[in-house]
Amino acid sequence: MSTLRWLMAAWGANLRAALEYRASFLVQAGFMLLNNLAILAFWGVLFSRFQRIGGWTLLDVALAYGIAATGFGLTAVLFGGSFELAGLVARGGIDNWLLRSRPSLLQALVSRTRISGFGDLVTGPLLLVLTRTCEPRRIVLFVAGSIAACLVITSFLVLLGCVAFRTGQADDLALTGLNALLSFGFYPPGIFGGATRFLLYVVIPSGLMTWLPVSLMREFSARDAAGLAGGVTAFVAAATLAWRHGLRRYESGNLTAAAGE
Amino acid sequence: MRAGALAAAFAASARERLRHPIDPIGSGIFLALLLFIFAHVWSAIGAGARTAGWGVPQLVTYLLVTETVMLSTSAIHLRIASDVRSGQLGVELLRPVRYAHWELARALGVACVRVVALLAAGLVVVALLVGLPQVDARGAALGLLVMVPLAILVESTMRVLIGVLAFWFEDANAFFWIWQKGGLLLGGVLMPLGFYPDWLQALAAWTPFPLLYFEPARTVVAFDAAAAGAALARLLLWGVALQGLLLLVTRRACRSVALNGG
Repeated sequence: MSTLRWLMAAWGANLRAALEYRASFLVQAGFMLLNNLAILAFWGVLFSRFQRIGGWTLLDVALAYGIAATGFGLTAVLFGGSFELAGLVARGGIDNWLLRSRPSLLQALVSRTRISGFGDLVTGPLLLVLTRTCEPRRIVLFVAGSIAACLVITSFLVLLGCVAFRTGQADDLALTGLNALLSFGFYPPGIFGGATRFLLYVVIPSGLMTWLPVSLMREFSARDAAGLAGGVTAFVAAATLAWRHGLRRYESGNLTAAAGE
Repeated sequence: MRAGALAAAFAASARERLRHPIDPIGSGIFLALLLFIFAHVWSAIGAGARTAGWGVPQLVTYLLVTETVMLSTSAIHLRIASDVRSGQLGVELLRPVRYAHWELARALGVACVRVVALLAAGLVVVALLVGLPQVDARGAALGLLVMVPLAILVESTMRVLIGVLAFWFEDANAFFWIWQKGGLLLGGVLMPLGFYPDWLQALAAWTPFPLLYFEPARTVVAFDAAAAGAALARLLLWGVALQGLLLLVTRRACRSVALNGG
């Protein structure tokens, strides 16, 4: 079976499991959508008083939010295992994936789907409608930006999870790191100084997650597009290398039987 | 005996957090990040923020107080829902104290450690970023020593109530998201309610959220004895009413539990 067919089979199984409890699925996805709109309402209130903050308008924040929500939703639905890597590594719970022929990181990532991610996936297109973004070129850039955001979020979660190979416990670090990544991404880059902005591209990649995609949607530039592609590739490569390197230090938790395999 | 058991749960929970300080440290880092971001947001807005009657140091200190209330309160609803789903609830209900009060005491023990860590870390960050504002000592004492702990008690009680909904729905996360975002928006967690349009301020006034976040922070940053007194009285009323509601709801919830052995 090709890797793509295997991935489709894994995602299909996750989706069927999620849909098994229809009411729970609808409640979790629906409430996540409401949750996202409530946060955006805060920005609506702020921009009703101050029309422009750090060079951004409400439209820019809505686009950043839409890209981040769609990217986060893609991570939650397609690579939901990324949120639990730190805990799994700490407990020695990745034995099953090491025994199989598929890449262990990919298996770990697609092992779960977070149902609330479907609410995030609805948020992005809804914001496109609300902001009346209907030009095909901008919609294509929105989709590309969301995919880039998904890869950045997933890679960053993998890098944080890999810390557990060295420290044993990294759950709280992973949570704090994710919160930081998302928090910075919703605020206009213009409010931060040069050094902070640099850190937000290379250490906590909020700039890659939202700032560059929004900048491309506002005014396309080949330089920004190349910067985004290069940055995303670098983070994906770093995550893959960190996982491979971390596996050398991995200690089994003898949980193979407990996983029912 | 019951009060003694609850006090022991409170103390054990606080001791556990002190022995494993990674949790309060993580919350402290997150608070520092938020303060950093908002110090930049308010500085970028600059003159516009000042015209609303608040300087940047006041606005950042305001955020420190509101976020301290929000981040000090633990995710009790998740633990209760987990107990329901795993069947651990059957064991928990055997204790000679009410389950909801037991969970509340444990959450308050965690909050006790977190609130000190958050305020200490937050004050240092505010001082470094924008400088501490001039505040009325009476307002700071009333806000930090009375209103913030009371707000945490009310918020924790509400989270236990939300968690108890899992007795019927198996999961209470969705209800919590709505409550949390209600607090974020209508409580004025990120910015003072004075920045809101009139209709939204009027709507917020009908909810308990401003009493949990806006009023304690305003009392610290811009003390007004009459407003603080009225807010404190209303906060106390909400506290008493929610304790009564907790008793009623948990009694009903416990009756609906069906244990299947195991």
